[in-house]
Amino acid sequence: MNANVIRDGCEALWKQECQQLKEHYTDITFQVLSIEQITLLADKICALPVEYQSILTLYYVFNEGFDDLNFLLGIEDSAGQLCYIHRLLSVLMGMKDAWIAPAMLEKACMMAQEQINELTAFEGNDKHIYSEKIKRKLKKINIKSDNERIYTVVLKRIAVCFLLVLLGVALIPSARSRAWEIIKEWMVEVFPEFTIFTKPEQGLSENAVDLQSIAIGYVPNGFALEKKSEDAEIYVYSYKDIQGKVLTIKLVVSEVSNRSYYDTEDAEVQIVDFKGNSAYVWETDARSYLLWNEDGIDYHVSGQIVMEEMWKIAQNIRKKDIRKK
Amino acid sequence: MLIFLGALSEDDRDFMNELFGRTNRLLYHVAYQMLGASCDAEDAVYRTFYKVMQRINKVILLSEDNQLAYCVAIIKNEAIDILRQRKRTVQVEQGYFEYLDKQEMDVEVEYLKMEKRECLQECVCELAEEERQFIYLRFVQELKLSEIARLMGISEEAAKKRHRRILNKLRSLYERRQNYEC
Repeated sequence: MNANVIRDGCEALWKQECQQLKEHYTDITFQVLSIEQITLLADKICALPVEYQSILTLYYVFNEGFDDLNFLLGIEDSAGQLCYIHRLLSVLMGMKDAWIAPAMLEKACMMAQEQINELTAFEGNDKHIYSEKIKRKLKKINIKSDNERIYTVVLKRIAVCFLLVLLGVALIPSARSRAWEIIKEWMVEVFPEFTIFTKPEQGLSENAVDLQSIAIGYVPNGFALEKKSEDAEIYVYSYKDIQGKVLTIKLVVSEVSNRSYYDTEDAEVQIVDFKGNSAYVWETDARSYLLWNEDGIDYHVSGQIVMEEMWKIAQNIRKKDIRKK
Repeated sequence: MLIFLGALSEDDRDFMNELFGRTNRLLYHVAYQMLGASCDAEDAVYRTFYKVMQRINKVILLSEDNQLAYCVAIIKNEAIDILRQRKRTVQVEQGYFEYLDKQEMDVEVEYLKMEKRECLQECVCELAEEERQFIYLRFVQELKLSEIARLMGISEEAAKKRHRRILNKLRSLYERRQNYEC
């Protein structure tokens, strides 16, 4: 059904109606509501489209003027829209000619706001890592997106000092490569346009698993396997969706290759703890990347997908219990 | 913009950073729930703080809870804006297609392809106020029938029936006008 024709026609008509209601706002009769009716009205406000809720909230709860409403909500005729919403609610409350008294509407908006606050209460507490692009934009308006509390910063500094001491101790009795092996970190060399990830020399882990025993349990909706390459020590899976977006998952036995080169231009590589190992994660304008080592296998995931999906893929790469002998 | 930022005091900047630190997780979460894409949700967060910053004198006086509610009201609107930019055509939900048989739909397609927008508008004006509000909610605000049902305090089935009845009425009005003109 081509609803665009109706929508276009109705949108123009709706704007006219907003304008007319605004012009005749003085010639109307207001009706006072009972407590029960105000409660019902608050429920209806909660069921309104989000844009209407925002107009009511900012006008009645935060006392914003129409010019500020226009700016904050990016609309042109907040006064007309407010009149329209007022009329809509009056009709929904069964009023034919009368309108809800503004004081009643204000009370209902306050009640609705409390309900909306409860509905939007946040249960999770995960910190979101913003992309470099947004970090730069936020920085331009003087907001630090990785803003941390002072005690967190102090704790982190203490942790860094501790790690440095540990590294120093490790360096004294053995060669540098041995130290990398102990702390299990990759060496990351950052250049302006790319980064080299060099793995520490590691002996075969007791938990090392076979590539054949790895299963990819999740790929984002719409992606289909386009190409698969399974050599003895490197498996590469290439996926594509109908829009041509690509996703690549590469599994490499750790002994095979020590160095990986990646595009990190304008990106900040973050080190995150993942399944007890260090994972390297970053986003460029084109792709998201995730790289980690686990039980003798290097996992390289990259694609035109959002970070949440990237982590979901990583979480769902499963191992069967087949130990290397 | 640069002039404005230059006018921000150190205290204002500290306040904005504190507000961001306190609210950005929830705001991102709200936007992500609505948009389903991280990059869009981040953009909504940015746009929200850009606007809040310009209303800092007002926001700074609100209680912490109200500061959050204020930001939530703005970010929801930003998310809707982003959704609108993303989606230019209305996707009529599956339930509606199930409701109409194919022949009926074909007839409707013909009607809805009509170029005489003014004629359609005149027909809409002839609808009763409640019916017109229904049409606005459905086609201007792009609410689902289930959402309209909740708003009107009726069942979803009743909303579907009402929707169909109003569209049929609109079609009859349009036909009558066309015949008149002919």
